[in-house]
Amino acid sequence: MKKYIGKRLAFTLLVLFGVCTITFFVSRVIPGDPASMWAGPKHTQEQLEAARRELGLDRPLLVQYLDYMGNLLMGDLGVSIRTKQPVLEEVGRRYAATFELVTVSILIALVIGVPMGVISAVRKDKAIDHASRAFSISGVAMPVFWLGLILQMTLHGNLGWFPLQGRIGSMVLIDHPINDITGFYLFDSLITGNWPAFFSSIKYMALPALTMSFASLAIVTRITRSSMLEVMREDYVQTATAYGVSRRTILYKYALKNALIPTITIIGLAYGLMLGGSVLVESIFDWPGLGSYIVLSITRNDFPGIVGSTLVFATTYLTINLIVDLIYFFVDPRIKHPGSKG
Amino acid sequence: MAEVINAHNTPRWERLRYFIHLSKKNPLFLIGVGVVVLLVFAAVFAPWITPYPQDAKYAIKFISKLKPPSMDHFFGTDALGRDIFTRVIFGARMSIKIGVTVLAIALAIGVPLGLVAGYFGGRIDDIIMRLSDIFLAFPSLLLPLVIAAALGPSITNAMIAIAVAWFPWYVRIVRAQVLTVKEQLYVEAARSIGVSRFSILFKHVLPNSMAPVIIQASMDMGYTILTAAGLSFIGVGARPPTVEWGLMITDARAYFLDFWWTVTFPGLAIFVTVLAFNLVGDGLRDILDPKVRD
Amino acid sequence: MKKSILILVLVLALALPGAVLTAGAADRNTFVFASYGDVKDWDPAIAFSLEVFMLRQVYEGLTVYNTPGEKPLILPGLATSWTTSDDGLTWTFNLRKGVKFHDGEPFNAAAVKYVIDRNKKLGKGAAFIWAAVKEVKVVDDHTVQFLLKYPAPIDIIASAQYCAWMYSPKAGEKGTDWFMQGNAIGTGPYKVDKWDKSQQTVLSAFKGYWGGWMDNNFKRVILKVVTEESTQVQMLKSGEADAASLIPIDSIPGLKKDPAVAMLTPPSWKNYMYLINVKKFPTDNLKIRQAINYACDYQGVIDGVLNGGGSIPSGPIPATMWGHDPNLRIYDFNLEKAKKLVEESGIAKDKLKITIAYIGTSQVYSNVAQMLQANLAQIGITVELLPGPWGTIWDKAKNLETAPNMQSMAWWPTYPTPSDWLIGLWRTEDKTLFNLSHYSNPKYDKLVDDGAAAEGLDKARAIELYSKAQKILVDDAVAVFYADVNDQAGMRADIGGFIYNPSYNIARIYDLYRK
Repeated sequence: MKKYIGKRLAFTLLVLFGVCTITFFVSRVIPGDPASMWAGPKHTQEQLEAARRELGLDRPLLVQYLDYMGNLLMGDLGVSIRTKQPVLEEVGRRYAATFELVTVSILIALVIGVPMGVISAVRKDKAIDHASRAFSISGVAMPVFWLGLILQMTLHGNLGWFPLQGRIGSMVLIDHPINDITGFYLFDSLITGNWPAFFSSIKYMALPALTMSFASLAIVTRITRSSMLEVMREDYVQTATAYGVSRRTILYKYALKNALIPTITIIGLAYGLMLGGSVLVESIFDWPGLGSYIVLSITRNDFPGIVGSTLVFATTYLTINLIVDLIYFFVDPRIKHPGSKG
Repeated sequence: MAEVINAHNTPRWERLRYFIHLSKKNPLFLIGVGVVVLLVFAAVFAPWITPYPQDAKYAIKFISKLKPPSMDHFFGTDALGRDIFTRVIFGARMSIKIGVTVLAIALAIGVPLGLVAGYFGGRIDDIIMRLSDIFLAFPSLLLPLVIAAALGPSITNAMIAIAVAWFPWYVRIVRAQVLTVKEQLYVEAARSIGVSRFSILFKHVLPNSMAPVIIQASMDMGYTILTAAGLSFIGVGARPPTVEWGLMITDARAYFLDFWWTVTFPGLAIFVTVLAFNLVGDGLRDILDPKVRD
Repeated sequence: MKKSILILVLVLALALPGAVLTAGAADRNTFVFASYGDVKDWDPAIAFSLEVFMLRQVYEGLTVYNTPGEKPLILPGLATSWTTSDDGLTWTFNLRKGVKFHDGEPFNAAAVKYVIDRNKKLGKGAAFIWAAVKEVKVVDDHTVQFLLKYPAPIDIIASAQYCAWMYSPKAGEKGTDWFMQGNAIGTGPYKVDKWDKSQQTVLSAFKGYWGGWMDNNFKRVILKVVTEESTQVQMLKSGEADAASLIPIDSIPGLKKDPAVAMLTPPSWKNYMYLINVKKFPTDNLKIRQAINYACDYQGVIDGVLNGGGSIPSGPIPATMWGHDPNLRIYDFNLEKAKKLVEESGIAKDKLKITIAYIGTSQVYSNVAQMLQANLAQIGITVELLPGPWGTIWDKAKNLETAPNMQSMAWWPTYPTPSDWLIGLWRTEDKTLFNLSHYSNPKYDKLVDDGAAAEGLDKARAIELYSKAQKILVDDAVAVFYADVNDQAGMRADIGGFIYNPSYNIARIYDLYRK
């Protein structure tokens, strides 16, 4: 077991190294001169050259790469060319915002998706099953940025239920500031009893989370349904039914537990989907997260910002996958799970 | 059952008949196919079936800018006075082109690599898989985004970027399938007779590994279009005067709250298209691989 | 499963009333400004962009540029009066007494000297505006002298919205890094309370402000980061924001009709143009450049793209700026003339391909470019559009190998002078910076250099020289001047005291009040 984890970790580090390298060189190819960004919107020739020297851009690319990687190993992600703030601090702050949003979205997907999948399987081919199947097929076909705009239009524009943008109310941020413990607004405000901030955060998170979770919600519903159906066909379930064990017991004791296994795998996939989707969703809602950060970095040739955020994204994704694999490992050593995965 | 379709020695036409028979039992699949056919039709005949075909290229009519949907303009007009219905239909051309191009490139790179990795194993397999893993470590949109930004905004570059970021998926799929097929009896039999490795690779292994690839590819048609639209939305994809659905949405982003039709219809087009391809892919999976059927 | 549903219902039940309770709109005494970006350069010596939204509330300069048309031209700021010597090389400013910085330090001549010296030494941002200054002399606590290398209008320069803000020397000592943490020490009516990065900057009233406070002054200012234009419009409509900084052109007509919003589109000092690359084929051909000038639908741009928010220019200098020549315009929208010129150029049809670069995220630039592309197609010129972010397209344009044939450009002065355009855009540059026409004309150079030198002493002569220079530009068709753009000032209708001033990108919120 330990050997397996050790191997996986080493392997993950190798992959991250590859990710860093590729991103560094690709982002340096992006047309545009970072020194130009640093020197300001209306700079003079001298300011441009000074900026180039300041940023070390006059050295050969390989030297810059080695320098960057060296700093990286010591935890220094450089200074953002766009904002002039240290990348580590910015990425850390924004990462908390994105991770909070993605996690809440996953929770929404699970909390709504699993029950819906179960009901759908249990009442197969009835109206509710058709409705949920229609939903799960269309959910993944929906362009997430379009959904965000539509939700803004209807749930804010027409109904006025939810705010249009931001992570928390302006006045709440002033009058009830949140203690920065983890960077997750919901968690921090909850444990410090800061109720106005807590509720405001929920309100502001509603639309972005709904948008983000849509596709994953569809997938979770669908996978839960199909694996429930598989399990329900299994011999031991049929046997239990024949023996007169109550439907509810069968449902919870046997079927659901085993049906959840593929759902766990989906969590890994869903995180990947959402981390990528954050790039689209955060800009629309002015969510101060890593997704909007990387878009801004890319459009402004901020290569420290690009590499820093990509590194964090990839690390998260790989870590989640590792955890999911481990959970799988523990949950599933003896049980022969039905069929093959799609 | 489906082994009939996959089996090596059933005559082709009988396999096709059985395929059609299974399709008929799957209404969603047929709907998907129907919509796709409609899409291709719209793409091919766009200049003849649209009311204002010139609006797909250079027409500017400020006088009719930002008009709501009406009998004259089914989907309304955009900020330059162009008919949105026409542009949505023409957008189908670009979407199909995107899907086909990206998949062609991804398959052209991914399938051979997957074959090689799976069949020859050992060192080559390791190298190919490690490289794929690096590509797959980037969460969905990120790698195409960075590559497209590096290449410069254009729909062609966006297509290349997506293909380059996605081919590792196909490497994986093909490799997994090859590993299974490799163990099959008829392959061993051929080997023992002395048939060359390459001959086995192309004549036996490749055709029998294609089923999951076909399924994945038809699902990916939709995802390709979604991803390309996303890249255009951010600004690293299509640029004017290319008529592309994602570009139409991002163009209208600033004022859509006042002019809802500019964003709604292109988005619906993407949705319907992707849905159709998903239904086709789903249906194919049901037909070709019954173990996963409901 | 039932349990999870129960939990869900519970959370929602708690959240909804909480959501309603915390519907906290800002109070009457708070001014909410929707800014399209966050503050980047906190050091007032370096800031050269949207930081001005914050700078103008927290800092003050020696002088203030008055609303054009009003007298006097320059208003006192931290300086109450000033004189200039006959040769124009010495400027003496009398400073306001009893002014303190936010950190308690006194504002005096030593502070002025410190600021100018530091700004020049750093040489960043808009430091070039002090290029004429040889030395700053402290005469006494409240009198400071500027000794110049050559004559320059220091009174105007001191009113600039960049690099002319007075900050506490103690703060300057702490350096740029200290500023970058979100610190600001000025003499202005507001001080910085806190900076929630990427979300908002909060300012509150500085009790010791020399101008004093009245009941209806705004006591708090929130500079909120709202990057989506559509959101800014919604916030303005709903009252969540009292003013917006980036309103999409096509939302303006709707806002003008909204009684709750005062949507102004006053003439500004900004103009839009395409700089034509005179060194790149085929735009190196004068007839082609002229043809392009005739192919632009000028009225269409004003009416159809800008929704009436602009006017057709007479030349390189907008009609609102002194030194513009109203008699210069020679190109109008005439496709016949354009076609003829293309034929006269003698260039083969299949070689008539040009590229136009512009900032992709701007609806206006994109629409004008597409209009031009459509019209040029009619006279046989094929256009490839190259949208992109400013940093990228500027870089490409500076280099002749990668430069496009036409570069979309917006220009406005750092302080009001025609030389900002004439020298900034078309004077010969050894290493191209903004002369993206890649234009080099020694006769033109001499005219504008002489004009700039004359500005401080003999304005009439400067105007004369500038006029000659502009005529050369128009005859040589170095650019397509397509719009003198109106500015946009979108504010809630219940905000009073606002007078538009093209010198500054934002009003002094201290001057505003809620009706």
